[in-house]
Amino acid sequence: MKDWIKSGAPWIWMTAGALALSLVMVFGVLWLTAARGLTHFWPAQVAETTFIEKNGSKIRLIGEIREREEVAVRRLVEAGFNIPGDDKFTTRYLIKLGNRDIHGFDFKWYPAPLLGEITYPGDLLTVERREWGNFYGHLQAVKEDGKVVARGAAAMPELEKRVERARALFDEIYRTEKHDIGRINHRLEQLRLQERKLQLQGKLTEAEKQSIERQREAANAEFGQIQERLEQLRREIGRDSLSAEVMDGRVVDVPLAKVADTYHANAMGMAGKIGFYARKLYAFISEDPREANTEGGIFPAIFGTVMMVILMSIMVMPLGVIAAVYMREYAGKGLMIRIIRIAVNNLAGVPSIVYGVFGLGFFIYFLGGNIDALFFPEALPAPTFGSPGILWASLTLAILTLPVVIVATEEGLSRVPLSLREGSLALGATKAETLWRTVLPMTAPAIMTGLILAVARAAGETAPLMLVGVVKLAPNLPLDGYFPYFHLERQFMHLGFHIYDVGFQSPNVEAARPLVYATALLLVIVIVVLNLAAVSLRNRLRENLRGLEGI
Amino acid sequence: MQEKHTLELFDLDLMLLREIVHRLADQAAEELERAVQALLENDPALARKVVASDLEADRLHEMIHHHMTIVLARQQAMAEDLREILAAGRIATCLERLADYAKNTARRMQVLTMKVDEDVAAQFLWMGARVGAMLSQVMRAYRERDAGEANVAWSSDAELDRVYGELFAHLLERMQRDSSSIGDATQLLFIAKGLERAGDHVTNIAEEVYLMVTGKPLQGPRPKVETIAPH
Amino acid sequence: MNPVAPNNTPRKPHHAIDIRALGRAPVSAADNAGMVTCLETKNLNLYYGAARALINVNVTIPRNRVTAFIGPSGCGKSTLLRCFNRMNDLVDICRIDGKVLLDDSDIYERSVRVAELRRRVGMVFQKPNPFPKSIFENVAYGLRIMGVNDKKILMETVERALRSAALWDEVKDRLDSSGLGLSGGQQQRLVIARAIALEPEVLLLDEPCSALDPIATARIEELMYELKDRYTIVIVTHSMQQAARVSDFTAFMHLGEMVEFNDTDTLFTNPVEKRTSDYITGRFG
Repeated sequence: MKDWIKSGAPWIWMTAGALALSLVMVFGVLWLTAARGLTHFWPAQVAETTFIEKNGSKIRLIGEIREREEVAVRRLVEAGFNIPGDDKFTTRYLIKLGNRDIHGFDFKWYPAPLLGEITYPGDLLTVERREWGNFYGHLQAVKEDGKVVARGAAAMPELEKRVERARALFDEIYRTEKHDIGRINHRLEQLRLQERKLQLQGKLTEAEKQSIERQREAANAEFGQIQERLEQLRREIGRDSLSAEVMDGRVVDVPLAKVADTYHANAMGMAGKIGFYARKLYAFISEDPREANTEGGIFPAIFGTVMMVILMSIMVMPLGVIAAVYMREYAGKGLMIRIIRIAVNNLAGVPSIVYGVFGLGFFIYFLGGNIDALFFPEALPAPTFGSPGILWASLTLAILTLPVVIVATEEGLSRVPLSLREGSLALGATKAETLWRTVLPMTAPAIMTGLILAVARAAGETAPLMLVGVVKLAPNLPLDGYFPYFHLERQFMHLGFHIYDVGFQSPNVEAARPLVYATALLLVIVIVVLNLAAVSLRNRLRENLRGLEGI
Repeated sequence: MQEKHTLELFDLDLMLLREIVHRLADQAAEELERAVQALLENDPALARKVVASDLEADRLHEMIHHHMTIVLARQQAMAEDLREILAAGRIATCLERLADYAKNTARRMQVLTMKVDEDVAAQFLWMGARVGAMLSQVMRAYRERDAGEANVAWSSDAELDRVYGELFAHLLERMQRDSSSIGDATQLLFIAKGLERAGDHVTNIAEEVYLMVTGKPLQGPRPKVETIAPH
Repeated sequence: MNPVAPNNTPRKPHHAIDIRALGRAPVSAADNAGMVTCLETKNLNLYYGAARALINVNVTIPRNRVTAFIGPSGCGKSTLLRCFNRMNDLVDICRIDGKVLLDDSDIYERSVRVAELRRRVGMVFQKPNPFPKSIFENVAYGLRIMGVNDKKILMETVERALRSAALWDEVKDRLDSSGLGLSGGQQQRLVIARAIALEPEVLLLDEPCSALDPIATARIEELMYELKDRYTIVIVTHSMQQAARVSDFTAFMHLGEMVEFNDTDTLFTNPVEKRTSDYITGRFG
């Protein structure tokens, strides 16, 4: 035993064990988020069964069985359920009943002994709606302007056709609202600002005023036309509806204008399910969110996250590298520089919310406020840069990650061998030329390492962003087709905040939970992709240095 | 053919060393030839020239040792290079001695009272030519790094010993017969002895060449002719 | 082989083979009459802070010769070498008095531009230090610093430098591959090519072979011998055998002093100073 300890074998086992534990934890987290998040998009079977209520009456249930758990019978009895038999434990199911607008609740637990036989009838229709969540029921008829046009077996093909039409109309309305009206609003706002600017400068002549007024009238006229067209589209989309029998036997009409998708989940084949899955997954990452972020996609959040990280990188790289170059190459070795170095290292340990507060106070109120007063006085009192936005968020994160980049760059600079610097100097290069042509290119991999760490930290940061630019729902992306295309002052959506919002602030937490996992997984993937991009770039840079020691 | 050294300077140094050794050999051979010629033709002027030209042999010998020292100091010579440098020094010494015998021949010739007899002269001529031939053979072996040829030169010394023995007996007999010839005969005896010794030096050179080329000493009994003449 | 027959080398041999000229030490001293001074120090003192690393050094380095500095570690030979291209300027606490003359003008004058000086006085270091760039860019580095970007001029110069450094045939097909991919000896020759691409007057070699194997070392030594026709070469080496092999003149330094400066033959066969003799015979300390 003593020999065994002396041999060092326990040490190897210990280190290997620690590594294994870390791996298990990392993969466990990934597996959990993937399993919970990715199954969400699989078309769920819709079950139909019966249930004996506390008062003994028997009702019909239609819905997706979401979860099952073991529960003590005594607790159920205490809750008023009449459980037959003398088992100590029994199972209960969490069923998503949908039809929130009709029943008033969405998810409910049911003890298994009180349920009847569970069946999966093929004609059970799942309707994904743009409001009120899912709808389940037996399709009865398809109506046009309130009149039945198809019934029974003919109803489904007719429905599919009309859903398709309604969806196309919806897309058009969406586009019109978003782009055409957005354009006119943008023009009107520009006109207002132009007028205000001239007014502030005291140059608002009568002629100018009239010209602006004319343009405004033209814009308003166009706006009227678009409104008319929208009216017409809305009328058209409101034409059709479907009627279906819900679980308590009522027949309910659902207007197709609110329908996002309809399908017979139980009747789908494997290929159908896979296609459905792929479509939903794609929609998740490419569409805008709906219903207080609990439905639809998260594209704006992905976009916002990536864009913010890229902006942050663009800002932190030069700043960090230049600061590190000064500290390592030009500043002496005195007490002052040592203190500064310690301070920089300690900055990395400051809680991130402090940076958020700093960003809000300094960047937004002070810098942004002054920028507004100097350059955008016409928009006041509405702030332009004086309010949270992606620029300030990126800048705040840049400050937050600056120490990482500085430390990594300094480390890289210190590893460039003296012999190479001397080699360059001996060929008649000045110190600056040596730095630029030899030292910095060799430091590039280390700088990339710093950037990788910075990106990893910044992409996952949430708390400070809530103060400096992230919102629950941003009406516009920070990048669009209107001059100057990049709208750095705009607020944006972010995956980290999205997780927090959907998971903890949403009205329907149970329904949104899979989305939280899916979003979390996506955040991890985004960070991994950003990191891999940086790592592969670094490896390419390192390739040039192969053969040098210690780099 | 030897491979070149990476450092060409080393090749040049060795080449120079060899060149000076050959120069010295040529000088010694010439002195020997002319000394014998002066003896046979009774030409004291030529003999004086030979004595004077021996300074050149001394200078070359000196130069070889100097250059050898420098090459040893500069190039950390190993194996065949080392043997070559050391051989050059020893060969130079032998050649210098050989030249000395030639010079002595020229000196002694000047004190002879009368011209050398026809019969003795033939033997002196033969001995001189023999030593010259052996020297040129051994120097060819040195130049061509030919151990075989060195071996041949080494073993051909026996005949020289035999002729020396005959000459010795002949001169001894003459001294007994005619006491007035004792002075000249003694000088001639010393000259003959010198030529015999010169032959021995050539065989020494042959041994050095053999050692230089093969790295092993030349062994075995050298063919000898027992004579009454003391060595 | 006939060793006396002149071989087909077009180069002028180190010593004249003509025996008539051989009345002296054959290696170098002969041509000393026509020697021109290239570098010269006058009462050079160098201080690292309070410590005096060079003490009254007076040395005259002849043009187109190889001069070697030998001596035990810490004797100041590298420090002296680094005075010749002002590499010591990089050390903050280093201070100099006395003069260092290159072609009779003091390189420590205020008006001297250090970068320009270093182009005239190239340097090769102990460890091969090619830049992590292509072979071509390594050799073109100095020219690019000077602002030369003409592809044709660069190509010509690079080829010339690599040929001079006896590296062209080995690398001509892979000029674009990294200089770090070469062997140690090739790297050192690359670094020499990099220095001579600037056509310097002087080449300073600071223990150029200490990281190389004997064969690579022999190649570099041969290269020095070839290059001295065009450059003045000063080499610091801790191998006195190397100094003996390659140099025309040798300086022995000890504790910051120039103990003896002499032609190599004399210094190694018959040194004047006892300290020199003790050092080269291994009787030191």
